Amino acid sequence: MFDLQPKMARILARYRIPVDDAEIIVEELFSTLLLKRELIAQPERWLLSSLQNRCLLYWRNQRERLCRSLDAGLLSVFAGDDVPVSEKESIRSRLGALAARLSPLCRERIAQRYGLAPAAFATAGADSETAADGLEECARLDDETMRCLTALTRRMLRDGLTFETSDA
Amino acid sequence: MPERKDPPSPTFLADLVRQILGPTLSDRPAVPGKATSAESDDFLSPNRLAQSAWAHLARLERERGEAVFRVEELRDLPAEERRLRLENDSGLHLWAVAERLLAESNEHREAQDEADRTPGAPSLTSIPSLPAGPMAVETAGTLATLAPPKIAPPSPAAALAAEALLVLDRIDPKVYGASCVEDLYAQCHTALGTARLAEGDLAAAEQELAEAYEHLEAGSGDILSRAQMLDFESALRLAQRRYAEALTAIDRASRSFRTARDRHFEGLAQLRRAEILRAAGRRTDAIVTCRKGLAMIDPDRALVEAKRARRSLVHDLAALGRHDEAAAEAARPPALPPEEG
Repeated sequence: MFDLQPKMARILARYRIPVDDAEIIVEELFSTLLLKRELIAQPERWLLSSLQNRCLLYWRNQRERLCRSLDAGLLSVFAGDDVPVSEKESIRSRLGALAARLSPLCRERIAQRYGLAPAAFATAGADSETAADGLEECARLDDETMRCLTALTRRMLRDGLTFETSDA
Repeated sequence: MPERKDPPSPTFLADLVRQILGPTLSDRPAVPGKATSAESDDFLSPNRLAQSAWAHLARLERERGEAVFRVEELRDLPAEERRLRLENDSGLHLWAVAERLLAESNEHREAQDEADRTPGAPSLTSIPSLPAGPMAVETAGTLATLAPPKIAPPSPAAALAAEALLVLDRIDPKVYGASCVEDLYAQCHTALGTARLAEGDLAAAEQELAEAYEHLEAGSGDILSRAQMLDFESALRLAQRRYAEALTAIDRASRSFRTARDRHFEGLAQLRRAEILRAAGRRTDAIVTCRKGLAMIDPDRALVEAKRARRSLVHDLAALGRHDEAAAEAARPPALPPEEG
């Protein structure tokens, strides 16, 4: 009990939660604690373990948001008629090189999603179709695809790779 | 008539935060609910926390008092009229009304559980046997399509949880804070899933589990809600005979209860684990786990579970030919923890 505050501060620091978000997290957690006070056997333990859980969820949600925005960006580039074919090919080739370093399952998923499979390279129309289908699917990423996108994003960040398009 | 409760005062809340944060406050000025200038930079300061929580909680506590009466007004209405009222009466679109309906759903489920566990009553074990493996849900769907059509009304627990969701769909998360609403969503889906599971509708229970997961991830991080959802997941996997997944889920639930130092709930999770081990044919492991769980739970809070677990323990011991231990266990008063074997 004596060292609850420093412990909370340590958890927030360990998970590198930005101060503004940390404040909201702690406030929400306290509100929940007070609302459920009759059900919680050991408030201080509940508070610390829930804070830790929330910090994990915070980064999981951030990561998911990053993956979704990367995915939406790539799909809109491949679906856009105004993006030159050479640029699409260049992005696709770099994406292919990154995907080649992922697991076979992820490689296959990424190839399917962004039309990297040999069959999908046949015509520009086919590319747009694949990407347009992907845009529709964008909101409904299954767990496996999300895992593969996470791996791709991580690889991309590690290699310091960015995609620059003509309208960027 | 239910008694109307006053919402807590700011002083009460500040004192509560003080109790929780304890003596860390001893060196701080004791003006409840007011943050000093030094504290205003420290968002972990109890006074500042109490101050920021006050408006939010005062509203919810006031709503809780009101919800008792609002839900009471619905009590004798036919199901269809209740639904219409819940859909269209904006006076019912309150967080606390959803919370109240959820609490009633849980009460119904507990009462039903107790009734199911009395000898001779139909229970979860009456769910049709399914082949093991990940195709179990789909197979359940096939079985349902092959069986003659039968339309059973939803159980009271399922109906109440569905009504709570109906209310939640109509409230503005901005008014209450998104995490507060998301937590309640997750709990309602868990309650509805548990009710569906008890009805034998595994596909619907699976869907509720997925919904509960999604909402929990956007919630406050409440470790106990997470553990309760994992407990439901293990019960669902057990009914699907996906034992390895059931064990993984219950072990995660158990860890969460242990982290929150909730010994009683950790004990209940151990009893569920024993149930899974027994169903998977691992009787010796089930005996050890069951004894561990019985030693942890508070029998006064879970008399039915304790009696049921003890019966299973005696049965397992007898089935393994350990008759002396079985007899000794059977002779023990229910409130006493089992002997270590």
